Amino acid sequence: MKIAITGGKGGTGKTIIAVNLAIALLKLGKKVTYLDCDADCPSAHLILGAELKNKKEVSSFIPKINQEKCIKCGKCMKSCEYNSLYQIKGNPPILLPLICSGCKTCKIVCPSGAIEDDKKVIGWTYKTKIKGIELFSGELKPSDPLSEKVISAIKKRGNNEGTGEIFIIDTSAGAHCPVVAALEDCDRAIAVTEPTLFGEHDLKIIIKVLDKMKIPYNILVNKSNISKKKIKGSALEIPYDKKMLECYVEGIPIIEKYPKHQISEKILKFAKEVLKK
Amino acid sequence: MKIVILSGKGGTGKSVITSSLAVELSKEFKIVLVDADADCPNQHILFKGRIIKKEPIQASKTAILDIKKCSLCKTCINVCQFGAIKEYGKEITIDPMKCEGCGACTYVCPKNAIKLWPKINGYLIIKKTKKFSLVYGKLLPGESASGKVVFEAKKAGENISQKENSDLILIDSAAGIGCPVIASITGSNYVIGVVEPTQTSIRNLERALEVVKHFGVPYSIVMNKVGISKEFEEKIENEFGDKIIGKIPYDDNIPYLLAEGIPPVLGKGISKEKLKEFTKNVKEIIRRRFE
Repeated sequence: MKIAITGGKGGTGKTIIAVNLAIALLKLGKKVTYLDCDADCPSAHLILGAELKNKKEVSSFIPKINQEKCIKCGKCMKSCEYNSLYQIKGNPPILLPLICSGCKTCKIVCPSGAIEDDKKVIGWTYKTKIKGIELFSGELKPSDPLSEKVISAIKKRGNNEGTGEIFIIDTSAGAHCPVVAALEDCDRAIAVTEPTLFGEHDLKIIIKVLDKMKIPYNILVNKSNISKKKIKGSALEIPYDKKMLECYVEGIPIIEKYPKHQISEKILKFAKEVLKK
Repeated sequence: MKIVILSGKGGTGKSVITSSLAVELSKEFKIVLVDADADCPNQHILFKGRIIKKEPIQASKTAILDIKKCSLCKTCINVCQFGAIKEYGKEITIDPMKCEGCGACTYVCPKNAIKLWPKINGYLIIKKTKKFSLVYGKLLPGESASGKVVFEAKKAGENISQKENSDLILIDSAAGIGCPVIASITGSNYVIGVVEPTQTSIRNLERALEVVKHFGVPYSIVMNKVGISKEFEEKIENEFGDKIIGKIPYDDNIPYLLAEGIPPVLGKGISKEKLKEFTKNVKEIIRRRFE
């Protein structure tokens, strides 16, 4: 079973919930594989206190223009939907590698076979064993925009090498392509929000994405007591308290540090319900 | 002058900091506020006003297959670098959520059955509030091209700024360090990084600043939620030193204000004075720039 933890708004506690849920499932005797699919800002390893290991490069195709073969026809430039090829008339094109998506259209349209394969490094994936959890993470190379490609690489590696009975997929904030890439092929999702107008607004957006992708979901309201606002349809409410804050700051899952705390018990109970479904 | 507010990690308080800057700076300068979090824009919740423009943004294209022409040769499946084309039973389908609109499939199809069509990725909205114009992009849920939507929102902000003869464009960036954030940073003059005293926030601000440095934009730091961890507050002090131009205390009244849609600098929390002090420091930076 693949369970995604998402939510739209940043900082609602997606990773905190995901990590605690993973440990709860582990306590219930399940083998857990955790995919940290926030390649922009990976943080599950920080909360689990792990150093990332088994680094693998993620690269993307970029065209290399063979100057001798290029007939300067401009077809590649015209076909590039990203405007990453630039050409001064009578000269071979120049590539702006940062905005190249790696679609290879230029290579397809080139009539003289002048476009050869080159690559740019866009990030890295990692596989780390920590506290009984198999953690797959990734990092987008700062200044490169191709987050979703790194996320696809994390998922591919996780699906190939991961041995868990349950996969936890922790998505990034937002509701665009990196989140969609993370949610793809998930069986269900937990949408984590907070009782603020921002949280409520962004929850509606992520629910639209989940509906569009036909992924069933539950709503989890984190920090449920920080305002008087009520979020409709929540399956679980987790209050904010000093112990939770302490664990958040220190980067220790509450379920580990205070297993008898009411929040830990709520999460454990929720994990049991997750297993029933 | 274009100032971007970013943080890497989400939920550190970018929108709170930006709304405070908008309130305070608009007392002295003519500003335009651009909400560049096209996935989940939030500033319009805090600033009421009249929407004067709402127009679709057509930032990318999508491939459409004419199944009557399709011969099921699967050449398109093999060239698609985004895994958007699949075979279901005896039909080829293109997943619109995964299609990047690059057009590779249109060039290889021997039956000429695939065409690229422009698509609407989101909306550009311009709102007139009491003191300033607010521009925001609203990406359709799950759409691609959030970077391009941000680019369009920024461009619209620049046009308004020119028309209104404003001094300042404030840009509230999305979380992360990917394409919408890069689109926010490019062409800007100054960055304010928001950090909270937690390990994950510090690490991800560092990653965001790597992008900022790549584009060579000067920056300052504001520490939000001060009081939740001595250890990490010290770490931030040591790491960023005199780059820090504001320290905002952790204020449990802020969620109550946000639940009512009140910008925290206008509320009655313990953070109010420190938010004001921080905006004064930003004013000083702006004045020095204009001199």
